[in-house]
Amino acid sequence: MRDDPEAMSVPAPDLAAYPLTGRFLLGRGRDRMTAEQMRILEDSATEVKEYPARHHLVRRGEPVHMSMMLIDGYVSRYMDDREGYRQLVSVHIPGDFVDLHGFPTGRLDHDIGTLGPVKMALFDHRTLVGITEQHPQLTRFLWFATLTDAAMHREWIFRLGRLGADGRLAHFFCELNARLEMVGLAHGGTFELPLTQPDLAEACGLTGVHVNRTLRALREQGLLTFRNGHVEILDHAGLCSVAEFDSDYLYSDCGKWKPI
Amino acid sequence: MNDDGAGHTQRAQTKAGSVSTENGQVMLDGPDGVAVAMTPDAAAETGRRLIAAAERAGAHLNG
Repeated sequence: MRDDPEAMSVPAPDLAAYPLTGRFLLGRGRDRMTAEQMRILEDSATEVKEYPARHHLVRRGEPVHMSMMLIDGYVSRYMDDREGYRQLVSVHIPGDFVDLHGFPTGRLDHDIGTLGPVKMALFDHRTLVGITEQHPQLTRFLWFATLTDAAMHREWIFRLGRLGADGRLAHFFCELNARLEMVGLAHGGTFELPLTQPDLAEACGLTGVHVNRTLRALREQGLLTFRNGHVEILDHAGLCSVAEFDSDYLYSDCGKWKPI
Repeated sequence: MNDDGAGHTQRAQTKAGSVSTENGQVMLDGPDGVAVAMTPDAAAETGRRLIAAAERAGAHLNG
């Protein structure tokens, strides 16, 4: 039975000391980073940029020389079909190293765009080469971050392959709630998510009308409300049950799969 | 791969999907991961094709 009724309790981010990278791996491994490693990562950011909502950041196939860590806002990775219909393949939240995988690959096999206004820390790949050559323990944390990305991709495949419309949406919200709790941006099942119903449709492989109807059903079942970018989970255990959601794959510090 | 005889491999469904309408679309939910919305014309034609295929499959099972 995949069911995850437990809420998480994680430390607050130290944004005074680490304003750019203070949420990196927060709630899933940051407590195992040394202060020196945190400082090296913070000081490795080449520049900070802000982008408006619905802004194209990286196109599939173009060479990339920087990797982006999200400081504020939400970003999606996506792929468009030949008719232009879009599938979101991931949604990123503050603290995520959005395209760290572009460091070894040099290109991305998907597009990246902002969902709302965002603030990004950019890391030149030459700087990341220095980290990998001089700081193997910090490199393992970066590797861990990309591996948890991969775990989420597997979970998204499960969601789209095995769950119906209600399960897909429920799972999406359960995952976002768990991840946002880790970085201190969700509290008691309540969080801001500047996505539209068409965005949810693109993330869950549904039409906008189907999303609208399913959100209404989840609300009528007393599980969740989603209005104007504000999410309130009313019945966490019930929503997790519909979603067949178990947060183990997120490797939370509060979960039983916390790395030793 | 789950092929341990416990009945969890992918098999033809024995339960019908749930059908509803919203805003002029026909929605089919389930079984399994099915979640699709169709125009009324596409839904009607899909329904006719399903019935025809079900009759052929039933005839095959009954020899």
